[in-house]
Amino acid sequence: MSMPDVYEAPKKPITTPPVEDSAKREFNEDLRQSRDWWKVVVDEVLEAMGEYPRSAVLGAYNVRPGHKFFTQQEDEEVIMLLRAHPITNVGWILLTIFMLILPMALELTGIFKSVPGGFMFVGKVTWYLMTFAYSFEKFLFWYYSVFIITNERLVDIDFYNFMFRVITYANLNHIEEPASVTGGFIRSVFQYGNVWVTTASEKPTVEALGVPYPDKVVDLISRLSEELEKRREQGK
Amino acid sequence: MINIYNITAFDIVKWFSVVGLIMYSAFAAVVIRQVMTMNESVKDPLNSIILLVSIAHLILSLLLIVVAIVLL
Repeated sequence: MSMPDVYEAPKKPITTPPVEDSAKREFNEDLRQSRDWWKVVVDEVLEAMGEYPRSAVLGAYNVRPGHKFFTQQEDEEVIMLLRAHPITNVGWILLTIFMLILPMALELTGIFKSVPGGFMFVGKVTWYLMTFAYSFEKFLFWYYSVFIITNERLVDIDFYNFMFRVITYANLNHIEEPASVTGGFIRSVFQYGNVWVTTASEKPTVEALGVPYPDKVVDLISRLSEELEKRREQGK
Repeated sequence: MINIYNITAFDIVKWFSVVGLIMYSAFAAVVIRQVMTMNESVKDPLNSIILLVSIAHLILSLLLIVVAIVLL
């Protein structure tokens, strides 16, 4: 006995009607003349680069993540949000694992035999709490030190220690030479490196260290800067 | 009145530990302030979780002071 078909695929493939190219172009042209002209420019730049909106929790390479940042203006959109590549965290993660194992290893040697139980308990909990604090701090510095590319500027937010925050801005139409540096075995394997952007201001460079796909980042900055320059030349 | 001849080495270690843990709790409070500053910088879905973790860290460090006073 044959089973009845639960679902039968349609014979003809369902296709969406093609969007009229001329209508799309006309719409884009209208938008280009409007206040939101930059949306078209960003769309075109991302399309030309083969990029699409993507974002992940703890992600280091986010395109159009929809995040907001300190001092963001109304007509400003985050196009790319970058963090150092997750592999750069390996050092402190290994140290944390070592710190977690250390009390157990020392206990096995028997050097704490003469220490009363209460002291052992408080000592261990304090040690684990401090280990947590160390790894939490490292995580915070990594997570919140971001490099943001918006439709107007580059924003570099760095945290160095407690309460010490450095935010550097560079307008896209004031930048001169974006450059990327990759090299070494680990960096080549995991495809990350540094990006430097030279500006004409007093503080000459804005930097993104250890970010994924530095060549793509430089490409995006160059393209956006070029588009803004073209617009400026047209007197818009 | 405290008889200083009854104070043992463990008592001294206990009160040094308590003072150390009080300082650690102050550090945990600073971490909360730091997380709040960081949360201002970038609005992210993970911000509230990170803030909760830092508050839990402070609560644990305060609890540890109580445990140290009672247990040691």
